[in-house]
Amino acid sequence: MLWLGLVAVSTIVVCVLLGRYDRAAVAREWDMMLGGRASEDIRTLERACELDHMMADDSWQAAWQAVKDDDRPEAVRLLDLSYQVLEAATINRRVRLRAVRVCARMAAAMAPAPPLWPAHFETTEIRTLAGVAIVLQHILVSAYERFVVQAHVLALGFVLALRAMRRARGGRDLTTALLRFDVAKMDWRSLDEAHVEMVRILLVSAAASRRDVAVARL
Amino acid sequence: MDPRLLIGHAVKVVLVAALVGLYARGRSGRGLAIVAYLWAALLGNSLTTLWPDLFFNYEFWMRRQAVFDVLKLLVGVEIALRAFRIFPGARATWERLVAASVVVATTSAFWFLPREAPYGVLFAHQPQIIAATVWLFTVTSLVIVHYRIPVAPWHRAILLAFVPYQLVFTTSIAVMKNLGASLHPAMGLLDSTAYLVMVAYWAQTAWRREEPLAISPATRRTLQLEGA
Repeated sequence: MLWLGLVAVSTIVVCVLLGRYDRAAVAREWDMMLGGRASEDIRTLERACELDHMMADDSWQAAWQAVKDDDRPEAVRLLDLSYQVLEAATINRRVRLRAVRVCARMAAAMAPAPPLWPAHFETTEIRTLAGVAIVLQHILVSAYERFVVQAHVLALGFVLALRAMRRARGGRDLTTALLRFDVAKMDWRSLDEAHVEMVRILLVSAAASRRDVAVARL
Repeated sequence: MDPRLLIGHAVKVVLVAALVGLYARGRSGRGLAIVAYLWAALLGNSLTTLWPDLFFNYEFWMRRQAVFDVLKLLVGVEIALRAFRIFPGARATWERLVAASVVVATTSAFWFLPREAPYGVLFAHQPQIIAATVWLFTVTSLVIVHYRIPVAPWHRAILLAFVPYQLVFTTSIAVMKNLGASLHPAMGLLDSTAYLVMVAYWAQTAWRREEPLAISPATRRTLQLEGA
């Protein structure tokens, strides 16, 4: 029965792993890593991120204007709009960071990622997270491990920033809510810039090593 | 007609379809061990279904199974070697050593198996051999997914179909071993049906056209995806 159990577990593992395996997606990832279009890809990503920031900022500024005009329902609606933009963007960033972690396995060597300094953030939770990340950077040995941990920290940071924005929306005083929201939004932006930097490091690391060597070292 | 015989003939037809598909689509060179396995399966199937008086017996089945066991391990090793051919780091040393030792152990078992081996000897060893084969396939799958190795659809199909079939086969043997040989016809039917499904899936994959990958020629060359 032991052998039967082993075979059964292995069957589940193989079916799940290979059932979800997408060769085209894997090939695209390799193409991204080895295709030599790093700078072009980064520019596209920066433009997409900037668009998200502009949408969220515009909605927030319109909400601020609505508060000044004493139009509370409109301010709440616009604040919700700003939140929804960043909520959707957070999902996108977390998916990308997951892909970055996976693709990091494909790189032969990793350039060091810049640390997340607590001083760059305003929200307490994210400052704490950044502090923990700094400590981890000292404990971990390889650049790859640091990179992966940094990607995890950023993904968690996005969740915390979004939660701070969600909580800020619930405040009774709309002006305070808007200010708190803005603080969390700025933290979100800092995290977003760090996330773009992670992608840049990944692509630069892949491009820096000779392509055949990058593949051969895996 | 005995349903088992009917399935046996169906398996023969599908095996021929799979082999013709592999040669017609130029995929026979992508897995020599699996081609050898399919030829061995076709030969074994033809002998037992066309001349059952001579070949439909435990001794022949046992010898045939031993050949299959060796070929299955070779299939696993070959897929791993082909998948990781340009990724030597992903192909850990222990994996190669253990895979080689399993092949050696199975081959030795095949050569030193007593000629007049009783029915029980095979049943005693079969689950371990299957577990080793499935373990090899599982490790290969894990490394492929973890390191994002681009693997050919044909190789994926082999792994994806072989492992579930091995589970059915092991279960059949375990049931017969524990509940008695009276269940042999039912378990034989179950095993044959599962085998038919597996070979049909292979035949379908062997004939299916591969969708071109939307990647640059440079990446294609680097990853050696031409005819991989």
